[in-house]
Amino acid sequence: MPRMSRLSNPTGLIDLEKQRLSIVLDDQGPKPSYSLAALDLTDMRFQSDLRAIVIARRGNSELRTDHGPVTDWRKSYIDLSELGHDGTWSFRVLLIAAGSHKLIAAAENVRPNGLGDSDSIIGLEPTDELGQVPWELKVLETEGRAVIRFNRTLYQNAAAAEADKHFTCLVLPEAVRQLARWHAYSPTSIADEVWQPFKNWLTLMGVTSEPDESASTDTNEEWCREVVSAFCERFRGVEVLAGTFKWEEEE
Amino acid sequence: MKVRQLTDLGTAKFRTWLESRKPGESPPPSLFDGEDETKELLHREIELGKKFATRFELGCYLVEVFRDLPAQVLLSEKNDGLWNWLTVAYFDQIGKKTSKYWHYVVTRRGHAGSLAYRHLLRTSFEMYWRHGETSLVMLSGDLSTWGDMSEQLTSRQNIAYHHGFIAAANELYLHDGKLIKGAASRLKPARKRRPGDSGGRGNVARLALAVRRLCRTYDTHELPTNEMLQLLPKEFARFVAKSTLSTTSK
Repeated sequence: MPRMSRLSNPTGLIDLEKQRLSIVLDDQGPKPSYSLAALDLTDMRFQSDLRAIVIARRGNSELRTDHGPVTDWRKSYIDLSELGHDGTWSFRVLLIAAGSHKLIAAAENVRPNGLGDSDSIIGLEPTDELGQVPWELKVLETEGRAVIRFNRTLYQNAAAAEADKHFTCLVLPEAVRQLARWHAYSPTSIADEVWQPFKNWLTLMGVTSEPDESASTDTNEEWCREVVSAFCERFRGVEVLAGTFKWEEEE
Repeated sequence: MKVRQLTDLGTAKFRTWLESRKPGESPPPSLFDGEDETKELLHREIELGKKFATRFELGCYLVEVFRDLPAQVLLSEKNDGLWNWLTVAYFDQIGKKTSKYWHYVVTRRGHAGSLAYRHLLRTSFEMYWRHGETSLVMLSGDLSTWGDMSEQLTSRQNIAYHHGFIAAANELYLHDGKLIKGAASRLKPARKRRPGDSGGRGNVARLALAVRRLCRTYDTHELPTNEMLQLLPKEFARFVAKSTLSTTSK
């Protein structure tokens, strides 16, 4: 039988570009976990009843998780402790129609975002609903994470926003402050298990204290400043931003 | 009797005893209830004299005994002593053959990674817990037998935890609760194969390859078994023809 051309596509499977996805891995805490933080299907003209499936792989082990409908997929952290201890992490993201088992689209060998990045806790989502507001932070209390919803007029997708140093150096620290404040004024929330990745992230940044319910407003505000300061220190916020100014001057 | 676990000392003694044991010999009584070698672990009772025809029956029994407990915690490293003690408790059935120590003592690290999956008793529990009735394909042997089918289905986590794969293997390679001849036999390399030699075709190792190909196009974890059987290549035809799903769908 003649070999089929590699350019043919008899199954009609659509290749999902990796830029449309963001998998955030947190393997610093006691239990490794991941979140399907972004899934941008804009302009893909898919049917509306698709479901997102993620297969996490490491070495000879894998874990399949159904993240539900692509219109409102599950972004909470998924425990990966069943997978082995050796090998590199990679992910497959599959889209299937409800009631079917045939793949409609797939992204293979998706690598997770950098470990310990703010992305692990704060996802990015474009939206058309903000009017003249550039961005807002939405805390997803039950999922243990927050999302920066940014105005699509400014950035088409999460990758474009992340690529802009002005966004990462100016917006992210303020988003971190808002999230810290949210915790500072509802201190029991941080004790909830879903916020464990946030606590791990704080530890990674060097912040070991937690907001105290009985503490004064000043103490809580100080804690928020400590979180933002640790974040900016780690990601060299001012240095990076100053670098972009120099570059603009040279231009 | 209340379930116990082997302590580190007990496990070390058990391992030493296994190295020098003679056929038909039982483990020293201290490994059963010795103060230093064992300790009480759970408020669960097991029936010591119970006889099991297959590892499937054993897995089913243990899942029932531990039904309210989180299986993943039971299978974690800190509870390895539990499975080692249960092996001592049922050694008259498990130890009929003289096999390598890792079939009796949970072994986390070996020359090629973890060998915990080779523990006769722990894997019987885990596979029944994960797959229920379809775990029969890998647990159909008696308590003292590991077997090539168990090795091929449990050595890689991506196969051992794959519900679609295990269900298909269960449907293809079992007939009246017994493994079909040739199900786990190896396919000879092309240079050693004689013309017309079909030995090893459609075996369980080839099924792993076929399912890996199918997963590029289908969500094989959830694909119903009858659909998966229809999608398999021709080399599986002799096994598919014998399956109950194939007869009922005709």
